[in-house]
Amino acid sequence: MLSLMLFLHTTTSKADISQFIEENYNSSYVEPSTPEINYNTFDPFEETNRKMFAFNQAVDKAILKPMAQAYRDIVPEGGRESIRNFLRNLESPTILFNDILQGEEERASNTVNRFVINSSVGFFGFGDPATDMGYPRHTEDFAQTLAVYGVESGPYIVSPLFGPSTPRHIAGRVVDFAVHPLTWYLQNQNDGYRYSYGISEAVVAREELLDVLDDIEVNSTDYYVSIRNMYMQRRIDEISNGVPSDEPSEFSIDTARDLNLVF
Amino acid sequence: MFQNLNKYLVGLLLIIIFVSSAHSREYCDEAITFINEVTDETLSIINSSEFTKNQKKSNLSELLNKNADFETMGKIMLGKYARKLPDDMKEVYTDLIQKMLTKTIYDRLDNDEEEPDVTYAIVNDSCRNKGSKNKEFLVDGDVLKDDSRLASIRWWVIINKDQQYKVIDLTLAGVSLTLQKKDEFTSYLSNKSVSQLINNLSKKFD
Repeated sequence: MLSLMLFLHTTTSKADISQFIEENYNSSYVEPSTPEINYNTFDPFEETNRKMFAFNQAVDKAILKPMAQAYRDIVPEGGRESIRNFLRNLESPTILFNDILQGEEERASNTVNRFVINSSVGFFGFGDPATDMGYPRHTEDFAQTLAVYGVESGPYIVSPLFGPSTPRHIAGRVVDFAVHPLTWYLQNQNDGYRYSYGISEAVVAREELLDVLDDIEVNSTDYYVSIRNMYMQRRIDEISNGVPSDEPSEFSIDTARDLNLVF
Repeated sequence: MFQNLNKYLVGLLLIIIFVSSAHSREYCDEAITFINEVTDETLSIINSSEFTKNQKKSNLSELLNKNADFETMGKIMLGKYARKLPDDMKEVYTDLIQKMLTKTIYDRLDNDEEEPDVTYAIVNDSCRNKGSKNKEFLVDGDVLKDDSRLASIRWWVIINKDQQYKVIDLTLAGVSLTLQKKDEFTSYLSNKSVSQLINNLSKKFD
C-alpha cells in the first residue's frame, strides 16, 4: 500500500488520484475482504442472463418452490435431515475423486472415513455419526479442481434450470456427473429411478434454501445482483476450502481518507 | 562516526518496528475481545427463549447501533456514488442502512425455529492488520453448530475517531454483507439516482 501511495504522490495530482482510484478500483472501490471481482468483465451477458434468471424464477415459483414447500410441510425436520444426509452420502465418490485430484490427502481420508461410517453405523447414510466422530462434511467438485489448477472461471452465465454458473462450473458439473458411480448404475435402470433421483436432489436442495432465498429476495434492491454476488463469493470460498484469503485487500478506509475521497 | 550513526539508525529502526508490532498485537487482541463480546451478546439475544421476535429485533438493533459504524458501511456500499449523497439525506440514508442491516442479519440468524435444540457458537481467534495505521483489523473465526465447524466468519473492524472499535463488515461463509449490498447499490445506481435508492430502501425497511 505504501508503494502505491508513494507512486500516487510522486506521479499524480490530487484530481488525478481520485480518477486513478475510480478507474482502477471501480469494481472494488472499498472492497472489504474478498479477492477482487470485476463485474463489468465477469457478467458481459447480463441482459441475456437477466432474462434467463427471470425464466428460472418463473419455473421455480410455479414448480420447484411449491414442491419444496410441500415437502417441508409433509416431512418433519428429522426426516428431512435423514434424507439430506442420505443424498449427501451419495455425493461422497465425487468429493473423493476431486479431493484426490487436488492432492488433498487429509480431506480425501476424511471423505473415506465419512462414507464408511455413515454407510454402516449411519444406516446407509441416513444418519451422520461421522460428524460427531470428528469427520465433518465438506464439498468438492470438478470445477473447484479446475480452479485449483489455475483454470479461469470464464464469464458469469445463468443456465436454464441450473441457475448461476460459469463455463468452468458447467464443465465441472458434466465431469462430476460422468464420473459418479450412480450415473452408471442408473443407466441400466428404468427412467423412473433416474428422474426420481434428480428430482429428489432438486427438491431437497431447494427446501434447504427456502428461508435464505426468501430473505435475500425481500431484503435486496436487485435480486439478480444479490444472487450473482452470493454465487461468486460462495464459489471463491468453496475453492479456498472456506479458508479466508491471506491477502487482505490493499485498499482500506485509511487509504480512502488519506486520498481525501469520500471518508 | 558514520558507522556509529548507522548503528544508531538501525537500532532506532528496530525499536520503532518492535514498538509498532507490539502496538499492533495489542490492538488486535482488543479487537478480538471486542468481537467476542459482540458475538456473545448477539447469540444470547438470538438464542433467548424469553424474548419475542420484535424484542429480539429491537435488542439486536440496539446492540448493532452501539457496535457497528453504519455511516461508514453506508458509504462503502455507495462506493463511488457516495459523493452524490446530498448532505440533507445523509442521516436518513444512514438510518435506513441500519434498519436494512439489522433486518438482514436478524433474518439470517433467526431461521432455525425448527431446530430449537441446536446450539450455535462463534469462536473468533485470529486477527490481522488492514491498512497502515493500526486502525483497521480483520478478525477471523468459525461458526460452530453443535461443536462442528459450520462456516468461516470474518469481521472488518475499525477504531473510529472516538477511539472506539466498530464493525464495518461481516463475511459469513465467504459472503461479505457489505460487498453484496455494494454490488446491489452500484447496479441500481448505474441507471437511477441516490434519491431513488433512498426511496426504494425506505419502502422496504422504514
